[in-house]
Amino acid sequence: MGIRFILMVNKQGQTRLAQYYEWLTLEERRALEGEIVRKCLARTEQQCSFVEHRNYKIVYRRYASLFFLVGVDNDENELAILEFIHLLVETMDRHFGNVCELDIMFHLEKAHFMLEEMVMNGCIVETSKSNILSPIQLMDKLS
Amino acid sequence: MVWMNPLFLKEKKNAALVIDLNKMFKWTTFCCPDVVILLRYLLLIDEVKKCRVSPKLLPLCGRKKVAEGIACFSGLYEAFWISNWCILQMIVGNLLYLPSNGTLELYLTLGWDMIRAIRACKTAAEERAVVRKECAAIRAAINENDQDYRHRNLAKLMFIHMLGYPTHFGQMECLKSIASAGFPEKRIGYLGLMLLLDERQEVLMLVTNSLKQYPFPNDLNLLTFRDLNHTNQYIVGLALCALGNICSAEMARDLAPEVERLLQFRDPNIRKKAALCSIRIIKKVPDLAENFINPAAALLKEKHHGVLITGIQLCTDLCKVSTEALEFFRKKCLDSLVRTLREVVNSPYAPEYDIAGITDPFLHIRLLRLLRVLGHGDVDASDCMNDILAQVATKTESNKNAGNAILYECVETIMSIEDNGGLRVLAINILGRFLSNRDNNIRYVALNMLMKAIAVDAQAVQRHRATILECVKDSDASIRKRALELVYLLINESNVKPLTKELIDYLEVSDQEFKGDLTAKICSIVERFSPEKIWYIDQMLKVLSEAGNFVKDEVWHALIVVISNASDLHGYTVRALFRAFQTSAEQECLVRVAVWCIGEYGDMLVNNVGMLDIEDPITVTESDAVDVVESAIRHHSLDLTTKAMAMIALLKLSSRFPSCSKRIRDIIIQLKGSLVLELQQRSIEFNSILDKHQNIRSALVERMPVLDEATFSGRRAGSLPPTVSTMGGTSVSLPNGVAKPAAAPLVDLLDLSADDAPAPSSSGGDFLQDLLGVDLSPASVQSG
Repeated sequence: MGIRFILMVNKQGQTRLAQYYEWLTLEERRALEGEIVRKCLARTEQQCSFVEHRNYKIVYRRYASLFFLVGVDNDENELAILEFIHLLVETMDRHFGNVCELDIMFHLEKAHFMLEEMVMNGCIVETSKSNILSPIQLMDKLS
Repeated sequence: MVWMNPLFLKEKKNAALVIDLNKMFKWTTFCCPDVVILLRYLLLIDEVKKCRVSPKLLPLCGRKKVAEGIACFSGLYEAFWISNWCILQMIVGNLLYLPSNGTLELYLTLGWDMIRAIRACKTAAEERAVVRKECAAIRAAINENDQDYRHRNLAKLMFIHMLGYPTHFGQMECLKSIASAGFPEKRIGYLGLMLLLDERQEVLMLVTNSLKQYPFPNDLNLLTFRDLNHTNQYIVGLALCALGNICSAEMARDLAPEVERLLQFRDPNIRKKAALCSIRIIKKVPDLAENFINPAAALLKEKHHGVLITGIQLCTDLCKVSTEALEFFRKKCLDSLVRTLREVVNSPYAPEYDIAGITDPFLHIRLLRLLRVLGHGDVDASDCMNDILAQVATKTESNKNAGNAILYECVETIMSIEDNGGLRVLAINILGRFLSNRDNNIRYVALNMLMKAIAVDAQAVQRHRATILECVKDSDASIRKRALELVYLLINESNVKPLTKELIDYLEVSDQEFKGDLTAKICSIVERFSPEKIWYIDQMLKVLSEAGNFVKDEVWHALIVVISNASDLHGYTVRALFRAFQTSAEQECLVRVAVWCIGEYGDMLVNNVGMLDIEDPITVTESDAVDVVESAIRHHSLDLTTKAMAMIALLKLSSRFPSCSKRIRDIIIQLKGSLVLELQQRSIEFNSILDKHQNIRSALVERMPVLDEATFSGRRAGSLPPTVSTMGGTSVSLPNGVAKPAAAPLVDLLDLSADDAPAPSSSGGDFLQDLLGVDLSPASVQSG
């Protein structure tokens, strides 16, 4: 399956976007988010971007005040996931124009639509920014 | 444009900036047609309160933009001078022919009121209150079957769900939304479905059943089926995406033919989604795999990267569930895959897919991954891909992350496919380069990969031993953990001594949270590879002195068994422990082993029996030995097991050291006042042995017979995790000749009831019953 979940969390540890590709109950998700946020936010910039947690790995990257955390299977290519996070941020940047935490909060569904075009069922669907954004832009034009 | 970034604004909260903002406003009226963007940001930052915004800025730039702009304004209205607000309302009223309160409603339509309210919350309790209020409002809207606000309510529910509150009551709204005709409604409905609903059949059933009371198609399967056949391809895409993310086995069976058909749809964007949807289907229902083999093979010939990457993933997953598929792809598709990879590697600059000068690294990686599956265990297939793998391994740029990601994947493929010496040398060299990289990410993956490489070429990995050992000492926990596991795999009989020394030396300086892992690994290494007993005992004592609080029970149990079996080393060990105790009296497990040995071999300690050449002579009096045991009992931070063991040691010493027997009795009597029931009970029992049962005392406190190593290790292997209680329980049968001299009251002398309760037995009876039933550790158990 590859990607198990994608989280966006701010510096204070508040979740700003959460997309899971495996079923977890609310309690499990809260516990998981708490644990990994505590683990990842405590790390310094010199340390590597991978953290092992339970039976999977978390690949994370920080952009200004936002952390992007991606939970992946152990056999996933960590460096590629790192590149994927960057692609996600660039795509959001292209759409929102210098994306920030508040864009994602106030346009949560749009962020999800973008993510939906990029990842399905834990696999990468599309890597071209214009292909990802065209359905969303089309939608915006219509309404 | 840096000023557009609200973070930038927020960081510089000062008056000058507000003035600047006003200037900017004037400027934007001329230069920036998209005022709304600025308005949006102004809404999001608090500075706006100080800032006089002219409503004239609301130009006629489309109905929607104006609406959003007004929404921004309405959010600010408290902050506005009332005159401004009035002007705004007038303008708005003219523009949109809305009643004067319509602006506020528009603002609410976007659902931003709630998000703002939540952002303003200072505490979790406040947040809960806001969410509760919102949920109540949404429920009310649902009950009234309010369609105008459905979109907004779903958006709010998603936000509430993300915050971790229950939103099950909104699940049906998603289905209703999906059932409506318009694309925007469907889109939010499907998104809600994926986020709020789950694949567990009972929930889906529940929802579908309860939907039957509503006058529209009442089955999610049916809804999805209808959308999969929709004339609007975007709607087809939505349905596919939802199906791919959440479908259950039952849905998979029902809808598989539709998905199969869509794999040949004219628009590539649909084909790629259908391919990923198929992955979900074959995972849910592996029987369906054979239907997808041919369409999947067809996808591999595509040019569209999206279709190609998803098609490759579909093939990879097909290979996992069906050997038939694996064989098919090996025979029919290998050449074309190799060709595709070559084309991608050599493709000219493609701006859409370019990352750091490499065209679509994600596609590279997926291709390499499929090749790995096909090449594994098949020499011909492996031969077929040798050239291209060599090309990727040598030509890929390694100065950027994207390039390294490809190299990493390539190395893994080379390691997995069938033997080709030349390629493997290439791969190991790449890993060596990675390992010496300054970037921690690269070093991490190198360590990860070397673990797999050990199976292929242990010798080559051994060459990097020194570097790997350095990584064990890295400041980064992730790297340390990987490196330690790798070192563990690298150790063999020939290098165990120097490597163990390095690790133990590092144990002294490593940080607390790492000590647990490190200790466990060192202990395991020492047990597995120890060339001789004295070395084993030496190393274990070092570990115990450094990190005795991290050592697991079975490890020090095993140490005691080994000590017991090494009869020529008893004196040496007890003296070494005596010395170690002087410096590390707070290390729990060290103290346990030390008091056990002093109890058993105290006389050897005092008389310097069995002196080895390497030892420094040491003078220990009987009272020094008792001091050690007494301090273990008095030490506040040591736990009950240790203290109980110390008491038994005292009992034993009372007959070994006649000169100290008075002092020992005093210590034991003092413990009658212990607040811990177990210690109090022991104190009373031991005291009566010393007082009234002189005749059996010497037999009771005899040295333990040699512990049976085979029994112990068998027990350890048999019970995972090996717990104290199981060992205690079985050791009842150990014939140690102690029970014999005792008459009927001592029948239960060695009854070692298994649980850790402070009172060893509830069976009552004579005071000697359970006399030595320490049931806390095998060592103390067997010392009875």
